[in-house]
Amino acid sequence: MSRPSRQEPSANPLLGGLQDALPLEPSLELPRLLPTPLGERENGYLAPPYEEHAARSAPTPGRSAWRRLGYLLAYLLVLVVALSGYFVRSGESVPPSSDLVRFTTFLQSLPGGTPVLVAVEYGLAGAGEIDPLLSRVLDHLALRSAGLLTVSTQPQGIGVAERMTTGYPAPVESLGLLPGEAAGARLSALHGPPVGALLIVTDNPHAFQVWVEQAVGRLGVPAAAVLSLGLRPQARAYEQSGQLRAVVAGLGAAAQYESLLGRPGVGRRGLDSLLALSGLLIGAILAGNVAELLHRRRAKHES
Amino acid sequence: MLKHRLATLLAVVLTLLLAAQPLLGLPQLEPPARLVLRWATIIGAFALILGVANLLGHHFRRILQREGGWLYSSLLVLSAVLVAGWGLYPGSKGAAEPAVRWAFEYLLAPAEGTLLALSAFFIVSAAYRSLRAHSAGMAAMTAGAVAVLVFQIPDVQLSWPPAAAAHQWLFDVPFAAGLRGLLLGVALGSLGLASSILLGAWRPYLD
Repeated sequence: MSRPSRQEPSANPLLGGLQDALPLEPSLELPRLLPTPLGERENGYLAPPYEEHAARSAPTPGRSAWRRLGYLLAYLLVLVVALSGYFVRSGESVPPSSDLVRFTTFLQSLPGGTPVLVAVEYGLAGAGEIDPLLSRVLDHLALRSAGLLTVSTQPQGIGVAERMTTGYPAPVESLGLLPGEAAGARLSALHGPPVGALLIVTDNPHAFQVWVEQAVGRLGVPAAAVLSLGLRPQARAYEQSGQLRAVVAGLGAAAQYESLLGRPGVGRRGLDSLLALSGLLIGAILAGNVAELLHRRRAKHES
Repeated sequence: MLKHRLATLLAVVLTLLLAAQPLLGLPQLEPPARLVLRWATIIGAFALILGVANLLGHHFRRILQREGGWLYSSLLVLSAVLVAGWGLYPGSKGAAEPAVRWAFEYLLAPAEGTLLALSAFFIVSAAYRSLRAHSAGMAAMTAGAVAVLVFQIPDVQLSWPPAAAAHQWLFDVPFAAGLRGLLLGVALGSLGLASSILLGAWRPYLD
């Protein structure tokens, strides 16, 4: 069995000529075969065998141009759908979820002027999802006149914190970068200035775990989290254990917050795009399954 | 040999100290534990500087030897020197310096955002190619993916209330169970690693 190597030119026009330019591209261009016997068995769940896929996708001269046109149209469709939220505005308000109600109640329960330690643990790549939500959370904290102390264990976090807190009406102090991951978080909890609450803002599962485990108990103050949607299930365990009082996550929460504050903005538009893209994903899954069914019927008929 | 033994002894003693301080709650252990934590963060900061120096050194070598892609290396070195220079010159406000903020806001942010935005194309491509119900396991996975995508739509939740409950249940039960299992696995793995370091069986600090 010949297996595709990373050096071989891709038969797939996906980023043609730019192989390995993106980390995900090699893993998506062809279904991967895992080398172990267990891997080969498990592979059945993930992708059809390589030979089958290769035979199916082997380009013939006539098919190639249509194929390219198909890819081009498909990618254009993804682009149009992804941008739809910015052109078609639904304007409908999104009712608050129980998560958001808990979170706003938590912020309201903080005494006015409480200093809040904000651990900003996300980079620019996650900014599209977290910025709209954090902006609304900061608006709410500003209404409570809460002072902010920002800190991060990753270099980009400091820049992101600086960017997000510009123009914040109450005092903001940057505690800077805390290298050493767990040691940094633990040190800031044990020896940082006194605070009234901790807010963990992240899209990074490791940083999230480090802050909850190393800082929450040691600080002895109520804690909450502003997360990317991918981290929401992980937060449930900490929420149920009482380590986190409230958690909000993703663009959905940003849109709900905007509706609650009566300020439609980027969160609502982003949610619209995301929902349109979800529809497209459902369509892609269904189309893939129809194609699979047709291929199997044809193969059965030919045999 | 003596050097190795000393390093192992130091690692074992410091690990024991940091583990014992929260477990036993002895106030006498707090000052040395605090000191060790400070050392760790200071060493972490130097490791970051070392990493940057190593990266720059590597790319300087590529430029000097005119290896493939040396032009990209010069771009990297130039960007690093310019941004670091803006942030470090005497009287600079560091990360709050307008030029540094400009580079962060108008160069780095759009570049990273663009790179991540490409994942939309990958995800749609992956959904078409990989989520195919050609076995019972894949059928379950595909059905799960479609259910999550459908149940998260606010209009669906409003017009059909069980969708919201189903969405919540999926997050609270199967996802949370999987992630708890993962967290427990990580915790057990960390415990195993810590024990290996404590017993001196694994010495990553000597590599």
